[in-house]
Amino acid sequence: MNHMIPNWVEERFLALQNDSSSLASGPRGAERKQAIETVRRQGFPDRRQEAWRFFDLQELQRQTFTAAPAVTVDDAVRRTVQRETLDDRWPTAVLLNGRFSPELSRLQHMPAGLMLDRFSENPPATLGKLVPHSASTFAALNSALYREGVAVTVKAGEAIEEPIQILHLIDTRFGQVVIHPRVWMNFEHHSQASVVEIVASIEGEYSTFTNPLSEIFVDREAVVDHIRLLRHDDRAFHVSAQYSHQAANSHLTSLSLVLGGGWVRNDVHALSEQEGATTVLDGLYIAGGRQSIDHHTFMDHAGANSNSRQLYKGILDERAHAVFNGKIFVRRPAQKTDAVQNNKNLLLSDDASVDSQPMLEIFADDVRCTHGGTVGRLDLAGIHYLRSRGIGLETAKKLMIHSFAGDVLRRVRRQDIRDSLDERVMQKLESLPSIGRGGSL
Amino acid sequence: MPDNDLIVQEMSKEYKYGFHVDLETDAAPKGLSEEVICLISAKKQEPEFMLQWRLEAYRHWLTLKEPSWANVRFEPIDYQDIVYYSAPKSHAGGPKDLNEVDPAILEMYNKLGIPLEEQEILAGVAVDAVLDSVSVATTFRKKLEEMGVIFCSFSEAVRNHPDLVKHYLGSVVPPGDNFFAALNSAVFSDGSFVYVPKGVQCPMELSTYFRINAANTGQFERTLIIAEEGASVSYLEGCTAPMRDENQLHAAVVELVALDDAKIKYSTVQNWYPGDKDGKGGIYNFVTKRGLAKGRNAKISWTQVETGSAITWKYPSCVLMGDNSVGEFYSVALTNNHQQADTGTKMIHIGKNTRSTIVSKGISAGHGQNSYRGQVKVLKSAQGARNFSQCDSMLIGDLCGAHTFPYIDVKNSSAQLEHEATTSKIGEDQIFYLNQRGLSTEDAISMIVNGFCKQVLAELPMEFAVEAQKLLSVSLEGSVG
Repeated sequence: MNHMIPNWVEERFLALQNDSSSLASGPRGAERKQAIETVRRQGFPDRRQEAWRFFDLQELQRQTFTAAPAVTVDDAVRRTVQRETLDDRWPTAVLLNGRFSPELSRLQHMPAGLMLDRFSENPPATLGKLVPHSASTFAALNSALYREGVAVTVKAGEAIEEPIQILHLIDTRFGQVVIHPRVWMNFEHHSQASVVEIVASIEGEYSTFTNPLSEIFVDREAVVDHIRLLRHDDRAFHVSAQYSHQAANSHLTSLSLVLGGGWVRNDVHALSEQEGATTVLDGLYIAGGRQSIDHHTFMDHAGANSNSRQLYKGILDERAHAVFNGKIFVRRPAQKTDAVQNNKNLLLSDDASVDSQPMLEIFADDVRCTHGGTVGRLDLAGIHYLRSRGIGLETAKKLMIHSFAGDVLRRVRRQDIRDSLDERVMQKLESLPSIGRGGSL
Repeated sequence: MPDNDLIVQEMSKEYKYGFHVDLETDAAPKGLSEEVICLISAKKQEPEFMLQWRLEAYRHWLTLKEPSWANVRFEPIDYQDIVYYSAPKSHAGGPKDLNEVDPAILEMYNKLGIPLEEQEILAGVAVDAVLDSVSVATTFRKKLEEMGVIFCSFSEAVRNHPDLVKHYLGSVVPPGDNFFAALNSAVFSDGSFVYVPKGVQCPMELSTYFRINAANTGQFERTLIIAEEGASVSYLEGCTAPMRDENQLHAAVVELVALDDAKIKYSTVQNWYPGDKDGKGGIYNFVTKRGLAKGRNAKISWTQVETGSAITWKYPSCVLMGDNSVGEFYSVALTNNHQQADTGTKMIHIGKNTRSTIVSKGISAGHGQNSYRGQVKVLKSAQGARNFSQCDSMLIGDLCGAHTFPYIDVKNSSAQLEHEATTSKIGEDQIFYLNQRGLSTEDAISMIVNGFCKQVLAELPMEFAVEAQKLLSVSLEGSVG
C-alpha cells in the first residue's frame, strides 16, 4: 500500500508544527497532532482500496493546493452570496474561504432557542465524537486543518420556524486553494429545525479543493431536516464526510443534492443508535461534461424498531460518471428494523456511466430490508404517450426527466425550500445538452 | 421416478467398477513444487504442452496473493501441507460395511431416500461385488458416440483429443485468472470433458454419475464443456447426498464455451461435508466457474443448490460476447450451523442485445453467514443490454447473517438494469397459519423455505429438483427451536 501524501499537505503540516502561535497549541493542539498522525499513517487512499475503486483520486493527487487566503467582500462575492442563498430572511452563516464573515452572515434577530456561531480554538466538547478512528484520511485532514467551524445548537423543546442556512464559499479567482469546512450541529431533545448547507464557488478560473466534515447530533424525539446542496463549478474537487447520530424516537432527513463539482465524493454515515429512530437519506445528482459524482452511504442500525429510507437518484449526460455505494448494516440488537434503499439512474448519453452497489449486511433476524437499483434511459413508451397527446419531443423529455428528479425533491418537507431547490435543479437540467438544446433520444 | 433411480443406482456401480481397474497406490510427497507438477503430468501421461501449461500457471500462482475480499473467515491454508497428487482413493481405509458408518449419516441417506447400494458407495464402503450394470452404461456411451458427443474424463480427453483441449483449455478461465484458478491450472487432477458437435442436441442429461471414474476426481477438478454451433447440452454436477471426502480444500475450475446458437445448461447440487455443529472441519469450496457465450444467440444457464461445505466461495459467471446471447443464474445457497457462503455471479455484457437474469435465494440459519456478491457489467459495446437481478435472503434465528453485495457497472445508456433484493425472516403469521392447519413448525418452515426457493428449483432437471427439495428440509433440521 502506498502511504504517500501530497507535498502540499506535508508542507502544511510542517508549517503547523513549527508554528508556536495559537493554531498549533490550545485545546485543539492535541487533537490536531493526532489527526496529522492519522493522515501520515494512512496516506491518501488509492484505487486499490475497495471504497475508492471508482473514484479518480489520481487527478486530485496531481494537484497542488494552498491554504485559502482571506478575501475581501467585493461585488463578485456579494453576487455569489445573493445567488446561492435560498432566502435572505433566514438566519444565515456565511464562511468565505473557510473564514466566518460577520458582514455577510445574518445573525441578528435569532429565534429563541437557536444558537448559530463560529468556533476555532475552542470547539464544542463533543466535536469529533462521531468521527471514528477508522474514518478516511480526508476526515482526519479536515480535523487537522480546518480554520473555523460553524456550531448550530437548537435547545430542548424548541421548534425553529425558519430554516437555518450555512453557506460555504470558496474563491476560485486567485489560485488553487483548499478549504476544510467544519460543521457541528446539536439538536437537543424534542427540538425541531431545518438546516440547509450550501457549498459553492465564487466564479474564477482555478480548480479548488473543498474537504468538509459535518457532525449531526439528534437527541431523542428531535425532528431534523438537513439538506446539503453542492453548487461548485466543474473544476472543483469536493470530498466530504457526514456523520449523524440519532437517539430514541428521533427523526432525521438528510438530502444530498449535487448540482456541481468536477470530482465529488460524499460519504454519509448515519448511526441509528437507539430505539424507534427514523432516518431518511436521500440524494439527487445531476451531472454532465466529465463530472464524476460518488456517494457512499452507510446506514447503521443499532437500535430496535428503527426505520430507514434511502432514495438516491441520478441523471447523467455527456461523459458524466456516477457511483453509488450504499450499505444497510443491521446489528444484532436492531430487531424489527425496517430499511429500504433505492438507487435509480437515468443515462441520457452513451458516454455516461454508472457504478451502483446497493448492499445489505444483516445480523438480526426479525427485520425487513429491501434494496433496489436500476439503470436505464428514458422510457420511450412514456415519451410516445406524451407526444401522442400533442406535446413536443423536447417538452416531453423535459417533463419526464423533471419528474424523475421530482421523486426526490417531493420528499423535502418544506414547500419554500422545495421550490428553491427545484428552481436550481431545473437550471442544471437546462444546462445539459441532451435536454437544453434538444439533443436526440 | 423409479426408473431413473434405477439408472442412477446402476450407473454408480459402474463407476465403482471402473474405479478398481486403474487403482494405484502411490502418491506425491506433500507440498507444491515444479517437480510435483512434473510428476503429476508424467503420471497422467500428458503431452508436453500440458506440462508447460501447468508450469506456467504454477509460476504465475507464485506471484499471486490469496484473496481476502470475500466475506468469509477461516484459518489460513498451508499450501505446502497438501498432497497434490494421490492415485484414486483406495477403499482400504473406508468402512467395511454400513454398520461401521456414522448412524447420523445413514439417517440422512434414508431421509433423502437413497437406495442401499448407493448409500454404500457414497459412504465409501468397500464393496467389490459388481452387478451386471456395465451394459447400461455402455449403452449410453454408445449412443453418445453415435451422435458424435465426446464425454469422458479430462485425462482421457488430454490423451485422445489434445487438439480440442489445447484450443479451448484456459480460453474462458485463463490460468492466471485468480489465485485459486492458477493453483487449479497447475495441479488439477481430473474432471470432465464434454464436446457436442455442430447441430447436435445431446439426447440425455450428462452427469458424472454416467461416467466411469468420475465421481472421485479429487480436490482440483477441471471441467470443460464445448457446445459447437447449434448444439445443446445439459450437464449435472454433484449429488444430493453427502459424500465421504477427506479433502479439505477444493479448488475447481469449470469452463463452458457456447458457439453460435448453442445452449449449455449447467446444474450443480453441492452437499459436501459442512463441518460439525460447532463449525469444526468441513470442506473449503473455492470454485471458479465461467461460461463464454461466444457466438450469436448462445445461451448459458447456471443453476446451483449449495447446501454443503464449511465455506463456499464461488461465482459462476457468464461472459456474453455474442450478440443476442443470454446468461442465466439461478441459485439457492443455504448456510446452517457455522457454514459460510459467499456466492453469486458475474454477468459481463459485451455483445448487442445481450440479456441476463439472476435469481438468488439465500437462507441463513444457526450461525450461518450467507453473502450474495454479484456483478453486472455492461460494456460500451453492449447496445440494448438487459439485466434483471433478484436476490432474496431469509434469516432463521438471530445468530445468522445475510449480506448482499451487488455491483452494477454500466457504460451504455441503452442498457436496462434492475436489481431487487429483500431480506426478511419467515413470517410468524405464515407459520401460525400452517400450524393451525395441523402442520408442525418444522414442516411449516420446510414448506415455506421450499416455496421461497421454488423459482430456482424449477430450473433444475426434474429428478434433481425433487431431491433438492428434500435436501433443503434435511439441511434445515435442528435450526428451529
